Amino acid sequence: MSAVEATDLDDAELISRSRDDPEQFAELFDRHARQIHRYAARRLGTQAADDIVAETFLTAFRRRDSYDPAHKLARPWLYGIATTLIARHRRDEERFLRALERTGIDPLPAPMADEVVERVAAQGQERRLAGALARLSKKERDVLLLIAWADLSYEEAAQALGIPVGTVRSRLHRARRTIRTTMGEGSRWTS
Amino acid sequence: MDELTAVRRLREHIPAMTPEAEEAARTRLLAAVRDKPGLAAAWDKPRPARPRLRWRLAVAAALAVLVGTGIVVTRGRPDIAPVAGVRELGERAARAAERGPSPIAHPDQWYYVKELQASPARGGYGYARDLHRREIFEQWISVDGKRVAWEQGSGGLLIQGTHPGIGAAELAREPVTPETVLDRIRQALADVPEQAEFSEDQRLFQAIYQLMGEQMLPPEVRSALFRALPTIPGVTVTHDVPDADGRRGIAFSRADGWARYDLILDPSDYSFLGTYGVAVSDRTFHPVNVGPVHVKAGTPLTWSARLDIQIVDKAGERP
Repeated sequence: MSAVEATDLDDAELISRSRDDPEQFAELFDRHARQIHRYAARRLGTQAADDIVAETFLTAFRRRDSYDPAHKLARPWLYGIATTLIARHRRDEERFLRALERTGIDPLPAPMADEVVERVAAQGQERRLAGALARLSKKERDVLLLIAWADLSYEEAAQALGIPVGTVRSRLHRARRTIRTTMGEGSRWTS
Repeated sequence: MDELTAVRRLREHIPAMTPEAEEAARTRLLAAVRDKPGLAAAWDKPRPARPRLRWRLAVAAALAVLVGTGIVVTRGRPDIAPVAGVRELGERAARAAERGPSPIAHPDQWYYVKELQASPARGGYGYARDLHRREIFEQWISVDGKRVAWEQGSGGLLIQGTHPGIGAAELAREPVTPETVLDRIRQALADVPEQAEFSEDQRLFQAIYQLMGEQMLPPEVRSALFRALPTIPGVTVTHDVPDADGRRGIAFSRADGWARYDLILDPSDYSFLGTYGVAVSDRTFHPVNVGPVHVKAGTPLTWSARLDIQIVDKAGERP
């Protein structure tokens, strides 16, 4: 019987095997850690994200027995766990966004130097956007950022948050409307 | 631009996770993974332990050592760039081996090997290991690779034939290539009683890590073996594997239908650290006069860290 390389298994099979051979779970980390980090870092900064990545996978490992193998990709599941962990730092998240709105300076790590010129031009709109994000409800912001930053589909976001797809749509719709209203005067936003 | 696109652009250039942070998070995950032994085997009514070749313990002379779960840093610095695949690991390890020492041992001498091992699990019948308990295990292997010796509790020495029964001298006969060393090991294995639970390739893989762990092989033999390992079907790389002493290494791994084994190497110089093995499927064994013995998937089979290897004049002698 030939050995199957871990890289040939989809996430569901990998998690299933890791129930009896826990070592295999590390492959899930290799596949998804960096993506989870990017999402968490955009919300809370890279240092907080380092911890959130570790905690996400530890939590996922502890819960691997209850993973539903019908979901071939683990991303929604992992993003769901990460989002719950990020929620503990909600006040920090909103404070950082409001600081960006107020001062134009993002308290999260600075972008690349060669982006400076472009950023100066976008300051006004970006600042208003940050303010709008800060004022969304937690539920709307989670849906919006899972779709905009984690690139999840509506179905995947629904799975991640444990809510119906219809709820995802309505929360996204409200979030977008709030942003449009906030950006309203003198902006170039189109609906 | 619509508002969703605007959100997508916000913080687009956030810095990526650093390799150090990724390593640290992975380490934390593996610490949790290792702390949890696999499913405990369900044993039948208690029977006396049946000693098995290769996993037989030195009774009473063993010292039970409780080791904490703190992570110990490996000696040296890890290789800068991560190893991409098994061929690359083989090549890097081979090059490091070529620069290694040439031990000179007389055919009448013995290798003294001291290991830290996960203790046999209670009721494990020699198959299962308890990842939370460690003990010191000492053995002597004749330089020709044909005999092994252990101390008995009574103070006597038990000497018997060992597997795979080949030594450095035979392996180092010209020409030394990945193909010739594998052939010589296969020939030696052909003389050893077959173990039905292992395929030929798995026995070959196990023979290689046993040779590396129990003998001081000359540089050209070690490097040939490292280049040979990727040619065995099913051999892969596993990163960040701790040995029984907590030293983190990089491993050649091979799984067949029944078990997965890791040959764990120091990532800085590819020296031998230890081995780890775990059952990956359920299996029932029928050893003579005992059993049946049911071993469940996830049962740890072996976990070792080599603490010392030296050349001594006689079996039973300590350096």
